[in-house]
Amino acid sequence: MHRPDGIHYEREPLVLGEPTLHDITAKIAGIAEEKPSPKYLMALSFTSAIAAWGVGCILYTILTGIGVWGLNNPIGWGWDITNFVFWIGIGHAGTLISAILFLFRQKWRTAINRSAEAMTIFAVICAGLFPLIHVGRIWFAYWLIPYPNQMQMWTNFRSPLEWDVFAVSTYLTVSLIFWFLGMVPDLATLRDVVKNKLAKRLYGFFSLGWSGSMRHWHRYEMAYLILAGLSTPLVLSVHSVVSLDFTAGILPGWHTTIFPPYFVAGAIFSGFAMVMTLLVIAREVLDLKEYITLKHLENMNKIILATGMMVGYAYAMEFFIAQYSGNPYESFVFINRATGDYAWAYWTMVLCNVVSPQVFWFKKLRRNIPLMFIVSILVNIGMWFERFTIIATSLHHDFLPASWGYYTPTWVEVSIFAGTFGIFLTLFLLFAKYIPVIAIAEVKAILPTAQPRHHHGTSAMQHSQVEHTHGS
Amino acid sequence: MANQTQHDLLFQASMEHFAAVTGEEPSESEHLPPILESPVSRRSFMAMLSAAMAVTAAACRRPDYKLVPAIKNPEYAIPGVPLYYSTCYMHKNVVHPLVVRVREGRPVKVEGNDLHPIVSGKSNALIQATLFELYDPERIRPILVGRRTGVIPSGNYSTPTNAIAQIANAIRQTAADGKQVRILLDEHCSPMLQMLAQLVEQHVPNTKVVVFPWAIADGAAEATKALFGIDGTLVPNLERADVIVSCDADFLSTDRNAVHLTRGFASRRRPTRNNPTMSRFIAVEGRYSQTGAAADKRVLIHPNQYEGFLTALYNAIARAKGVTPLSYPTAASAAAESIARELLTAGERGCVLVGEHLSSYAHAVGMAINVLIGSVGQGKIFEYVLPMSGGKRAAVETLRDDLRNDRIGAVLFSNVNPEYTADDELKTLLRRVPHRFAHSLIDDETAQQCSITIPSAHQYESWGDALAFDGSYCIQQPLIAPLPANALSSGELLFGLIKELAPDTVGGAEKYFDFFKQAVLRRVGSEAEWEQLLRKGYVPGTPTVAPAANLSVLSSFRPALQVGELALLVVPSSSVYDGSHTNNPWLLECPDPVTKHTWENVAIMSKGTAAKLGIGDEEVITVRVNGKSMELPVLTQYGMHDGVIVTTLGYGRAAGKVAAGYGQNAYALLMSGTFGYYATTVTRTEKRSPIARTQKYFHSQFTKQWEPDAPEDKFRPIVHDLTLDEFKQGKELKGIEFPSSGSDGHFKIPLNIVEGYQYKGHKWGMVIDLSACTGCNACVIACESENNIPPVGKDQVLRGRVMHWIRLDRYYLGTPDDPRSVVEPMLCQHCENAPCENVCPVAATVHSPEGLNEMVYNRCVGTRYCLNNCPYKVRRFNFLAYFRRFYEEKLGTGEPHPLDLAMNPDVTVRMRGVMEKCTFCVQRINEAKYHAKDAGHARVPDGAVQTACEQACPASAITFGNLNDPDSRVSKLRNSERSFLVLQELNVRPSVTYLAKVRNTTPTVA
Repeated sequence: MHRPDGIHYEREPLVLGEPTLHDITAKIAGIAEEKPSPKYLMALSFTSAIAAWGVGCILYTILTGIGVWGLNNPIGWGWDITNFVFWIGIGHAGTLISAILFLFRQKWRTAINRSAEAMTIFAVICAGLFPLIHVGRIWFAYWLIPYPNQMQMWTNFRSPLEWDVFAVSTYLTVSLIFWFLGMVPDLATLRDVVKNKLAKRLYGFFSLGWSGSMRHWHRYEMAYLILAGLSTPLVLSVHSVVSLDFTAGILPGWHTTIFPPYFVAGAIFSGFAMVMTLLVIAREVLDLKEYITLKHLENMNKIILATGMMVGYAYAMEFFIAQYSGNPYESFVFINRATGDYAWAYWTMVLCNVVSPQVFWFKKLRRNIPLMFIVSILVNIGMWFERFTIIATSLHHDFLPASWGYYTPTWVEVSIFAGTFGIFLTLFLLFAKYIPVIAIAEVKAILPTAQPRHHHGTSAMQHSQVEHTHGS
Repeated sequence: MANQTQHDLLFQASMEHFAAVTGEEPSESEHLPPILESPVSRRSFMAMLSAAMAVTAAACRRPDYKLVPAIKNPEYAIPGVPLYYSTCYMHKNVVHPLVVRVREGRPVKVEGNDLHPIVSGKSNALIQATLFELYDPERIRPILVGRRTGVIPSGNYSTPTNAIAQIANAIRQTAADGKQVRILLDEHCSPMLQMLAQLVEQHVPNTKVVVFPWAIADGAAEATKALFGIDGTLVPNLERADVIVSCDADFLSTDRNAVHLTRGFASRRRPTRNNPTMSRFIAVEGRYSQTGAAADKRVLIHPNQYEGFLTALYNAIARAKGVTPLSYPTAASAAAESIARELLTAGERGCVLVGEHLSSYAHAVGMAINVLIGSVGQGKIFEYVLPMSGGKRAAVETLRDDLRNDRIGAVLFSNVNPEYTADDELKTLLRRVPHRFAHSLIDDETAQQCSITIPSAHQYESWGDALAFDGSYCIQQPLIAPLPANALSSGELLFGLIKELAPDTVGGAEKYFDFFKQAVLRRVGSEAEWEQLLRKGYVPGTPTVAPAANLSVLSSFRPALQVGELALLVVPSSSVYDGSHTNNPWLLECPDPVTKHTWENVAIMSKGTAAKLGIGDEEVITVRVNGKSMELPVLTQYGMHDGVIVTTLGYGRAAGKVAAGYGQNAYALLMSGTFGYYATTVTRTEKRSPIARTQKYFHSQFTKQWEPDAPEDKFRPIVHDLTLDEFKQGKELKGIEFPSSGSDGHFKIPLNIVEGYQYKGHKWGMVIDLSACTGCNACVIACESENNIPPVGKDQVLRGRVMHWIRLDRYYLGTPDDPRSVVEPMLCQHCENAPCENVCPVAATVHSPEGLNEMVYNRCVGTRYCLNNCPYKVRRFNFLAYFRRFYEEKLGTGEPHPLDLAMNPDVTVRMRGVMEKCTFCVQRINEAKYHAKDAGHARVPDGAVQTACEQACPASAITFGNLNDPDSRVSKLRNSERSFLVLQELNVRPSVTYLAKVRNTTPTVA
């Protein structure tokens, strides 16, 4: 772009270092080809050990009873449902980044969409674990699925937990298909590149006979667009439904109309923060600085700032409505949140979710990698505490003071939560190693060289076409 | 059950009846036709031949045996149909006439005998829990011999007869050596035991039977003896009382006559619009007792002032009556003056009750006041005398003296436990006795120190009798053969000894039962009356009526209570009493009515005392009395006088796997087991000990004055109390006003988008009168017994997982300096618009066509959403396998323990992972419906279904019935002026209505 002052402005490139198309294939596919490094193996064994410990604790819970957790009579849900909502929230940004940004033609998404989608899948897997294991008799959990049976029993469609079953399973299914479909061209690339016979067969199987023909590309683009269109409302619906788990109750602190939008904003907020945490690490560890640029990170920080403010607004609005309602139970719950037994959790939440993202008003700070890493961690902590605050403070002091109580988790609950991080990270490590972490085909499409330019040599263009027909 | 239905089913379990069932063959067999009547025909020959071949062919298989049901079933024992037997339970020297429900030969539920006038079908927590003691897995089974070094007589101990012979030998030997023999019995009111004891003392040389109670309080007996010249204590009839003044008397809780007293008290506490009258109750105390919490007015004084106060009260009344006042120092005179005016106004309808643990002076003065105002005598408040006054300190001191002088060579402990209850000196002396024998339910501290221990039969397993204060003679009828085969009752043991040592004196009776029946027949007359006695459970008799008093002896008493600045009050526990019921997890887990702590005894003191001592809740202190000490965690309590520390007896047992290890043995501080006030000193320790409380917040309004650290809160209209004047003026009970509700409290817009349920048949509902409820826990234990509710253990109570389906919420109203209490029993409200029902994803909790909120255990997967969404938090989740966890932890896994037999077969035992809650005793509703249907009724008659809590409630505070019937008691009460719904503003529409508590705060002065 030429301005009258003669300074030559150009948009910041989305991929740095001007790699060729081959460079990209070699770089990304190379990750899967290389032998796992000792560092990688160490990391993997560490995370899988945590996962195994968590699974052990889950088995212990199932064999002994929910009593090994700290739950009690006023407080029927604690870390279990907190973790569920937390992970569901994490699982949000993936599809949001992929689908909505795709629909809005936000090209910067390409660097991060694959890992964000993977994160969604893994987070929803972790999330789905909690509703399953939190029930008293897990061996009958399948009764939550409506199916014709000899008992002539149907599920209760009035229950928000039932809505949850549908919302979460739909979300998982669509996210999984969306992720997988987007991966097909890249899997074909890997199929063509890898030398290991077994890997070749596996990649071959999952690439569904992709040949890179124009017809394939055409169908692929259409299907991807449709799925993106389908996923977008799901992003809103899943967390709205999850929030109905609370709003459909009559408990002060739960029974609130603001919850659906507030939960969606919170989910995007926490999802972006989690993607940020993972990307900053992946960028360093897998040396993807050219692909995941500061510009991408800065954009994400803007979203974190915006959603953080929405969440902050919701906190304030809840307080206002509670006092304005004149309902003594409602107003007490909020005063109790801020000044009662769990005030420490409430203020941790406010500090992390409302105060800490405010640093992103400044461009310099938005582009400061250590700072954004810290803020993303803080937001994750804050969002966990948000769910904990909603669940525990509303339950521990509700209507009749005689039944009030207090809840502290046991080591089993803490271990299971840690275990889900183990599961999540193990899956993510396996993903990062064996599946293209960056959408190869899409990144190629946004290379400066991918756009026809008169002052660049035509060799690059030709090269790219060769690559297209060849591999991706 | 309705009175009639129940007593139609009443049947006596006489020994003859058993013999008839097992011994005689039915004679019908004579009339059966012979199989082969005529010579074998050809056809039948062929048939037999082919049959023989078929049999031969089948011979290679195992022979089939057919189960043939008895043509003539044993009479009355129909599987699935309960039987009801009349019996009684002696709690110390007070008898509780009972009707016990027996299913398939095992007692499963205890209720008060509704024919007997003093209980009228009511009972209390302790009586309800006795079933657990019958089935206690730790009961001694074989006779235990030679478990200590010492003199172990050699010989055969395989049967009780042999063991008794061995004990008799030892007694003979001891007597021959010129030493004395003592048989120690617990307090009782049994004419049979009294007679046997007399026979022993008359005919067995050198042998005496001593009533040796677990805990002693004989002030009242001493005073009664002096004033009235009789052995016994006066039992007030509070139905007749307009003004009740109690001086530290916990007559609604730990008093032995609490069932009777609560009935009388509560009957005068329910004003209605037509009859807005009630009694006035003034409590003078230094602690905050369950009884004090029910008072209209509390006068808070230090224990040192009790006797001064009573003296002042006496003097004020004496002056009015022209009697010489006492010259002893007075205290709290202003309060005494005003109370005296009220008593004088009430005249013979006023009474003074004195705490059983107070001195004989206090009792004598209190009794004298009653005599002066005219409330003692025929037809008055104090009419009857409890004939056997129980244990006396003097008897224990005599025993001590005999032991000191080495006069005693053998001692037999029958259901007493001096190793636990006695002071150190007495314990040491008793351990020195060469021959020691025990007779005990469980292998307790004393039994472990004895050479022979004979298992004791539970009262529900043995024949016996008891005398009630109204003169009625009650029969104790066995409901089941003794579970330990060798078990003997105290009566059988004494009879056995007499038979060995003086066989001529038992009138030729071979067996204890023969001897017993002869004695009963002598009392009641004919065989027919014996049968009537078994059916009814009692025969009326002539009560001892309080004779004229001789007030001149008053001067022989001296004030005795001076305990210094810091007073320790030791009283029996409201749940486990004196320790004789401690091995009972239902009682251990039964919360204290005021503080709501469970499983142990604690040091209860005022906030001011705690602040002065620099200690806080759950910090452990050392309490010292006369050089003996005990460590207790502190529990601070509003409404107490500074300088008073209260703790309870019954804990700190060393024997019994259930009881051992909880709390401290407060007997260690007492002199000869005499409970009451002791001067004490307290020091801090660095330890903390968590206290398992079932309720931690007691405020209906959270304010800084109650809880300085808590956030401020607006008033929650969840309980209501009124003064009698406010009630007369028709003060409205106000709920929360929402902007959308009209001035009449109803919402302007319809709150439901769907139509409500239509109840075409029954619509079950309950009304609970907070004005009558005293918070005694009878309903809690009755519910546990009826509904198979398991104990969870102290660790689980600490976690907040107690399983009680009905809990007694207690709230403070007023100010911390003068707190009022309201007890609000809270159970499933069976909401019409139940928040739990719509959130269950698997439809495990559903609404019944009769208005019950039903919990389907089989369908429950345990998401706990219903619990979260229940505004009353009455749902209970089985976090662990509570139905077996507690006993497995205490006794180890292994064989099924006999406790399974205590389970009500009509109620499911819930597994872990499912939610449970109050069902409105749906099993009783269904049973009543069957009976109604059999009787040809379309509806269950009013009163035919009683929930377990309603049936047990001695205050009759709970009423259950059909709300669709406008004439039912419950419908009428629901429309009472005092009625309110808890959390009405939520539009959950509960089926339980509460009636506001009323307090008579205006002095009745002429």
